[in-house]
Amino acid sequence: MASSSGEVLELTAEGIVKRFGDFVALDNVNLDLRAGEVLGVVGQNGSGKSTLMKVLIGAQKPDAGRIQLRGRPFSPKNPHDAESHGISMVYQDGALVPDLKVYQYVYLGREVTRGTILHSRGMRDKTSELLENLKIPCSSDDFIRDLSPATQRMVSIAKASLGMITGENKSDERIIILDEPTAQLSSTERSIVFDKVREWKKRVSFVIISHLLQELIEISDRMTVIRDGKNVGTLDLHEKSVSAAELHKLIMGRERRDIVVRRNASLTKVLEVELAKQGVFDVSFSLGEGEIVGFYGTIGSGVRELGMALIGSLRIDRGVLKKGGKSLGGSIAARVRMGIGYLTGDHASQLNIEWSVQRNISLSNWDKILTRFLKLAMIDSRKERQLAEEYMKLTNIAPPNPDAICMSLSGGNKQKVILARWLAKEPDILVLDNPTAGVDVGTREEFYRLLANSAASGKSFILISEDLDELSTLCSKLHLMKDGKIVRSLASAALENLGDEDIRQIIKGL
Amino acid sequence: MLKLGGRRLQERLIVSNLGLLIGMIVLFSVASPGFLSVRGIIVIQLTLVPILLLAVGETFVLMARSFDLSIGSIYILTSVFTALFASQLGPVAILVGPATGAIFGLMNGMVFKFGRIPSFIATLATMIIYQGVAQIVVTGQYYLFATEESFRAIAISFVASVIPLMMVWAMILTVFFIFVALKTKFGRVVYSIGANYEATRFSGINVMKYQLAAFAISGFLAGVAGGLAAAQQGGASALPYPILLPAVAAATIAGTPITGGVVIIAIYLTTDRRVVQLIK
Repeated sequence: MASSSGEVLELTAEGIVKRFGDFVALDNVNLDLRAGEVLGVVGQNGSGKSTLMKVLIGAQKPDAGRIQLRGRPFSPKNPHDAESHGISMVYQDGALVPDLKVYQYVYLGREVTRGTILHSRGMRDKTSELLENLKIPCSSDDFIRDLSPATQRMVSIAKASLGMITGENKSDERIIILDEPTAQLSSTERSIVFDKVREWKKRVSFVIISHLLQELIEISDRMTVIRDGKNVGTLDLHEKSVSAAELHKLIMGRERRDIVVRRNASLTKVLEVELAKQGVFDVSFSLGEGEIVGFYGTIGSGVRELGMALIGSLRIDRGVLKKGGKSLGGSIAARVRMGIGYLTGDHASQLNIEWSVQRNISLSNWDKILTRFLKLAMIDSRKERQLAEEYMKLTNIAPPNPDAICMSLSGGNKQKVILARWLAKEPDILVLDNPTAGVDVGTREEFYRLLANSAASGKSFILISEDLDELSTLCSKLHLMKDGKIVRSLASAALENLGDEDIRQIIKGL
Repeated sequence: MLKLGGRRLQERLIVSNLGLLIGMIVLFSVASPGFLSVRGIIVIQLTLVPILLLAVGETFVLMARSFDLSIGSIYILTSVFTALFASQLGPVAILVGPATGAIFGLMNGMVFKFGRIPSFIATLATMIIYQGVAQIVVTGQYYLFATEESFRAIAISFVASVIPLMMVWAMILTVFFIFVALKTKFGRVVYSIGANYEATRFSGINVMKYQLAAFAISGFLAGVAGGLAAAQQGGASALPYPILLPAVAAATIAGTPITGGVVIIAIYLTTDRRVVQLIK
């Protein structure tokens, strides 16, 4: 394995400097990519890794430094130019077009025509060939929206490698940069995508940016760490293995802080759940005051659906949901009024992306920002500002500007805006569905600290996650779900004594 | 980024419209002596009032990222209803317009929401229905007269001898609803529904209530316009009146959330019409 990623340098970047005004985003950064390898690039949000990628594909002009592609100087004018030289990038949110068919999407922007008419059959056949070649389980006539998230991701990688497969590209070598390729995927889907990457890397060199350190360690041949716009170093994982904790230290520049969670289960029950939906889930459990109860399950286990049913966005067939002994109404609005909140890692469904941070925080917190006059619920802009400032400070949102438009924030900070909204709302129970998907390690740590503090002050949480590390760090009880049922529950004592690996074994054995 | 660009575009449109408006006024006050006469100014205002009211109402629906095509028909139908009741009710009949208008608006919202029909299609249907109902109501009579002086005075008494009272009502309502849109929870939530429906729902807001209310406001203001029209004209007919397009144009060009720009655009579009009439 190690020797196969030979000494041939595909791409080298030396001494790259990029400034935005006074801010130095990249300070003398180097990167080299060998033929047929997977190079992991890690760093916190805002460390400069995205800027570096943009420089490589010509979306940003570096202020200094030089790039060489296969030994020759290379300065892409724009992403299209980079693509014609065999470098393409698959973005985090995948810029997928749900209403197109697979072949239309793959050929988007480089449609084949005969005269002025689209040559659909040709494109369809080539796409089928490509899909077959890469063993992607879909047909060129499927609609993008009907594919599973993992398949969608594979299709966008296939799109990036189109030139290589069809031989339209002059150079048959290819470099694909993947930005957070697995952020919104389940663990099963992640491994499907990564299996493909392993399979394809004989022909393609990959640069992968990810916050999921463990999986990146598993797939990468080498790994480049960037912190504050500088190289921390490049590790050859075949020479010396590295643990997620060591990597964490390199990324952060310090040891990981311990999160103190009160593990003893509380006696006061705040929520009693007995919910069933035919063929999806059938569970009953309870939640104590100040408790963080975890749920783990793969796609199809019904665990995410359970989260949606708890907040009322998914109809159930039968069941009871009692908070403090009182049955809860069915709509989201009724549940929020009764003190339940819901937060998912998919911020597209949670944020008004074109709105300011302040207005997004306000969205659930009307009682804190309204004044009443003549029965009109008016927004008191001073109160609104104060609320935003208070919770932005608590959650450490950068930049600390309440008027910043959410779109301009990094993924982790967007996530924190939603958390700030709910922390301000102070619901007794907050349902979290993969809250840290696509969030960097530093932000994640802060997130955990906030949850732990909030739990210590008596708030309860239901944490649905694919991240075992996250679950074992925070939860006082962990329910493992399969086929819609809780098949095993681990109490706090078990969680403290078992390592992640032990829990993984238990899950495998289910 | 798209939105920011959009807002800048809207600002540019409003400013350029204002420029055109001033240019047009200067040019025609010189070229056509009747244009800036007292009568000319009054005529412009009488045309402006319904366009402005309908545009303000439409803006609420646009804010929630829906569409209301029926306001022109509601305007006709409510003016017919108002004229129908004017002889019995006297000045109080002016309230018939807003009341029935709000109900028709609410009905739009319910067809859209409970029928799960896109608002464009739902209100296209109700547009035809409301127009049809108006025709049925006036069947046999070409025109419904409502000539009682105390009723008509609500619209066409004059302030400072050049401002008809209906212009004053329209401005008060416009300012009030701009305030509602920009400074209240209601306005913020309606806008949020348009910005991200899912996010608004997940934040714990009863989205349906606000969507229905946005349609009701649209109908309400079309009803105010209809009532005032009946009072101004001393009656109503069921003949279609081309008001939908300028109202929707004013709402769309001025953009969401609402600003004073809607007044400028509405004045521009009205003056424009007047100018075309003068040229003829």
